[in-house]
Amino acid sequence: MIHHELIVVGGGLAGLRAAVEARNAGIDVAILSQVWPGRSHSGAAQGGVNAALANHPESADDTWEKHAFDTVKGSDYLADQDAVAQMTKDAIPVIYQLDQWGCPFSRFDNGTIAQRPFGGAGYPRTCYGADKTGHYMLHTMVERAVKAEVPMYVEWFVTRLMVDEGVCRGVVAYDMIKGGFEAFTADAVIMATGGAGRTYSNSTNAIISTGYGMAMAYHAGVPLKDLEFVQFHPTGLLTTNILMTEGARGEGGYLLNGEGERFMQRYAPKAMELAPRDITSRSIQTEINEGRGIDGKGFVYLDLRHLGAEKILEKLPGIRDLAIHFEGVDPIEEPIPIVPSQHYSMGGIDTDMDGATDLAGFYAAGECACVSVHGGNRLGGNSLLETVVFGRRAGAAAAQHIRNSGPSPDMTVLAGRTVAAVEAQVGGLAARGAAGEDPYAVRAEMTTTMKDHFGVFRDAATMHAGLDKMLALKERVGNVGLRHTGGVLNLDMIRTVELEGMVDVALGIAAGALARTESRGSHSRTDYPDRDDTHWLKHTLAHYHPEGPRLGSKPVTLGMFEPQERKY
Amino acid sequence: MPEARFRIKRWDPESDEAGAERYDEFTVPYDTSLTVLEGLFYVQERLDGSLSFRYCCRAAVCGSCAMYIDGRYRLACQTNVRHLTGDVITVEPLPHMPLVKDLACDMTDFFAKYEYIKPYLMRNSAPPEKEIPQSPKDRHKLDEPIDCILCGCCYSSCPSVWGEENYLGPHALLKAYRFEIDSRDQARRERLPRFDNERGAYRCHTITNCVEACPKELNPTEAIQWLKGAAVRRRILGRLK
Amino acid sequence: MRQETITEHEGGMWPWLFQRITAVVLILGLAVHLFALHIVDLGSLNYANVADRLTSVFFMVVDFSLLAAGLFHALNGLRMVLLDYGFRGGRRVALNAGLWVVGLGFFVYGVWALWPWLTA
Repeated sequence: MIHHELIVVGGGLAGLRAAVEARNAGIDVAILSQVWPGRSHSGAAQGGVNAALANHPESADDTWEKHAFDTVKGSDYLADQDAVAQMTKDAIPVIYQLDQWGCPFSRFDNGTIAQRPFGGAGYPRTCYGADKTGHYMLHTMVERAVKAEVPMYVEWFVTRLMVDEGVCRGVVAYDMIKGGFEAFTADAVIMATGGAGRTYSNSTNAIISTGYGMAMAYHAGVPLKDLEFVQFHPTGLLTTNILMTEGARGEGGYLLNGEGERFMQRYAPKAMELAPRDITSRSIQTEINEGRGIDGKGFVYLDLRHLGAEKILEKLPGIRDLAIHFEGVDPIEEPIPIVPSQHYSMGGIDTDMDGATDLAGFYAAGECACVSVHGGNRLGGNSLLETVVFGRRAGAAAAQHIRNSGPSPDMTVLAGRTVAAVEAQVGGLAARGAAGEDPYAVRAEMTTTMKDHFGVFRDAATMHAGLDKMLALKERVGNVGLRHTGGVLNLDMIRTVELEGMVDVALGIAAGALARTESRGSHSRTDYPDRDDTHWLKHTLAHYHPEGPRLGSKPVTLGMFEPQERKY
Repeated sequence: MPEARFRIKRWDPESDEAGAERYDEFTVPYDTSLTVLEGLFYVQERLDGSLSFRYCCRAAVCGSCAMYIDGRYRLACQTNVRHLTGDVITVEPLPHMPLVKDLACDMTDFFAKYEYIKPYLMRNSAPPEKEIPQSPKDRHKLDEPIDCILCGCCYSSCPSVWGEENYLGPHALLKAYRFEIDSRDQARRERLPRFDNERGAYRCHTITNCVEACPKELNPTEAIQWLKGAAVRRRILGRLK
Repeated sequence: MRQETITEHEGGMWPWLFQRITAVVLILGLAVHLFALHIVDLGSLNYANVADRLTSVFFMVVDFSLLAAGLFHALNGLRMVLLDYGFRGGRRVALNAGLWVVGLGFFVYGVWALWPWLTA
C-alpha cells in the first residue's frame, strides 16, 4: 500500500498541469501513468491552442468575450457559458505562463507568439508551434513536473477506484514492469486519462485512448455527461485515420471533391474550409455519400500544393512527414486523401468548473471530463486549452479539498478489499481462459458497430440496430477469457480489462445518441434535422447500471449569449 | 492476400534464464498496408497473447515503439512492411539495453539521465507580463532539438553509452542543448556542470551512430559539439551563453 | 545509472580543448617541418648546416612545441580510448598519473637530445 495526499491518474497535459499546480501548493502528489508522461496522447495534438492574445495583425481587437462567443456558438449552445467564460479568460495568462515555462511557440517578427486562423473562430487566435503544438506543450509540461520533482509512477495501469462510504480514497493499479496489483491510498484523486476515441474503429486517437478512465468513474457511480457528442475530424488520413491538422486549412489548404471543386462553398460560403469541424465533416460525408468522392470513392482531397514548398516546410512539416510515411503522399507534390475520422469525446465525467464531481474527493480534467465547455461540438484549439486551464483548476481545487479535510482515516482494510476484488476479477478472466469469448473479436465488433451506427450522420433505425448489437456485445464481454496470465507487461490482461470499460462507455454513447431526438453540433440526425431548444437544450447524464445506462439530464448554464441559428 | 513473416525476439523474466533469448516466427496476413506495429498487434491478439511491446500514438510522435527492425533503428508504427526487403522481418528490442520483456527495454537509466540534465527552462529574472519576446531567428534555432521524442534509438546506438554506463547519452545532451540555445533560458551555472564533464559532452567521440539511428533525423552529435564549445566560451572567455 | 558516481566538474574541458589546440599545432608544425626538410635548400646537406639550423630560435620553438603537442595529443588520445574501457576511480587516477610520467619522460628525453644546440 502506497499513500500520497493526491493521486493523479494520467500523465497527459491535464494530469501534469494538475500535479504541478498541487505540488506548488505544497501537496504530496504523485502521477500514475500507463506510459511515460511524455508519450501521452496530448502530444499528438497539432494545430494549436486558442487564446485571445491579439498578437495577429488581424486580431488586434480580439477579446476573451469574442473567444467565448465563438466557443459557445461552435458548441451549438450546449456549452455551459460560465465555464466557457472562465476558460477563455484564463486562456491568456495560462498561455503566457506556458511560454515562460519554455514552450517553444512559433513567433511573429516582433517576437510575440504566432497565431493562425482556425475553424469556427472569428479571429486568428490559435497560438501554435509549427504543427506540433501538442508535442511542444506536453514536453514543456513534463519538464515542469520534473522541475517540481513530482513523483511519477510510470507504466502503472490503474484498474479501479477505491470508494468507501461515498468518498474516493485512492486507486488500485497494475505494476506493468514488476507485475502485481498495488493499492494507492489518497485523500483525493484526479482522473486525467483522455478520451474514448478507440471505441471507434476509425479514430485519430492513440491506441491508449480507450476511455477506460471514464469507465472507472462511471463504474464508481459518477455519471457521464453528453457522451453522444462525438467529434469527427474532417481530415484524417485515408488508410490510418491519422490526424491532418486543421492548421493545414488554417494556412490556406483546400478541400476538393472528385470534380475538383472546393465544395465547402456550398455549405459554408463565408468560412469555407474553416467552418467548424462538425459542419465540415458533414459536408465531406455528404459529398462522399452523393458520389462526389475522388473517383466516386469514399474520400476527398486536402490540397496544399498551392501553398508552396516553403510554407509547407515552415508551417506544416509534421503533416508532410506523416503524409509521406503513412500515406505515401508528399503534400508538396500531391493532394492528400482524407476522410472524416473520430477525433474527440466532447462528453465525459460530469464535473463542475473545478473538476469536482458528485463523488467526494474525486476530480477529473481534460478530455475524460465534461465541464462542459465544448457542448455539442468542440472548436479546434480549445482542447489543448481545456487541458491546461481545467487541469490547473482541478489541481488547485483538489489541493484545497485536501487542506480542508481532516487527517486520513485508516484505509488498510479498504485497500486490501479492493485489491482482492481486482485480483478476483482478473482471476475470473483467467479461469475462463481460451474457453471464454475472444476479447479481440468483441473489441473489433464494438469499434465497427460504433463507426457504422453512430457516425457522422445518424437516424433511429440505424441506431436501434447499433444499440442492439452493443447490448449483445455487453453480454459477451461478461464472458471474455484471458489467454495470458504472466505478471510482466501483460498486454493481454490490460487490453482485456479495459475492454469492459470501453463497451460500457460505448453503450453510453449509443444510448445517449438514440435518446436525443434532435440535431445539435456533432450529433446530426437525418430523422430530426433541426435543433430543438425547447426539449433538448440540456445535458444528457448517463448513470451506470449493469444492464445498460440509465439516462437523466441536467440544465445548460446560459448567460452571455442567447441561442441563435448557426451560420458560417 | 499478401503475408508478412515476422521473426520476433522473445524473453520473459518470469520463465526464462538471463540471456536465454529466443526467436519466434509468426505469419501475418494483410490487405494492402501493414506496419510492423500492426503486425505485432495481430500476433498479440490472435497468435500469441504473451507477446509484450510498447505502444501508444501509432503516428510516430510519442516514441514508445522504438525497436531494432531488420538491423536498423526504427519506430515500429512508422515502418511499413512494404518498405522492408527480405523474406522475414526480424524484430528485436533496442540493443545494448537491459530488457523488461520481449521487445520492451528498461528505460530507467535513460530517463534518469534526462532528468539529471535539468531539462527545463531556467529564468533568473521576474517573469514579464506577457510572453518572453523571442525573434523568429532565435526560435528557429530550436526547430531540430524540440522534435526529439525521447524514443531511445540514439542512446541504444551509442558506443560511448555501451562503454560507460554513466555517460549521459545523446538524448540528454541534446536536451541540454535545446535549453542552452534557447534565447529565453537564463541558466548560467546550473546546467553547465552537468554536461561540462567527462560523463557528459566530452565522452562523445563523434561516432555519429546517433545521427544514423534517429527516426526523426536529428543530429545529437552536432549539438554535443556545440555544448563543448559553449563550455569553453563560458568558462574561459566569460561569455554568458 | 549510478547517480552518486557522477561528480560534477570532474574535468574534461581542458583535455578536450588541448586536444584541439595540439591538433592545430601539429598541423602547422608538421607543415613547417616538411617545408624545412624537403623544400628549403640548405645547400649541401651536411652536419654543420643542419646543426646551424637547429640553433635558430625559430626552429627551437617549432621543434619543442611539436614534441610537446605530439606527446600530449597521442597520450591524451590513448587516454580517451582507455577511459572507454572502464577506467574510473583509483584506476583512472593511476592512468592519468602514468601517462603524465610517460609524457614528461619523453619530453625531458627530447629536450636532453637537443640540449647541446640549445646551449650552443
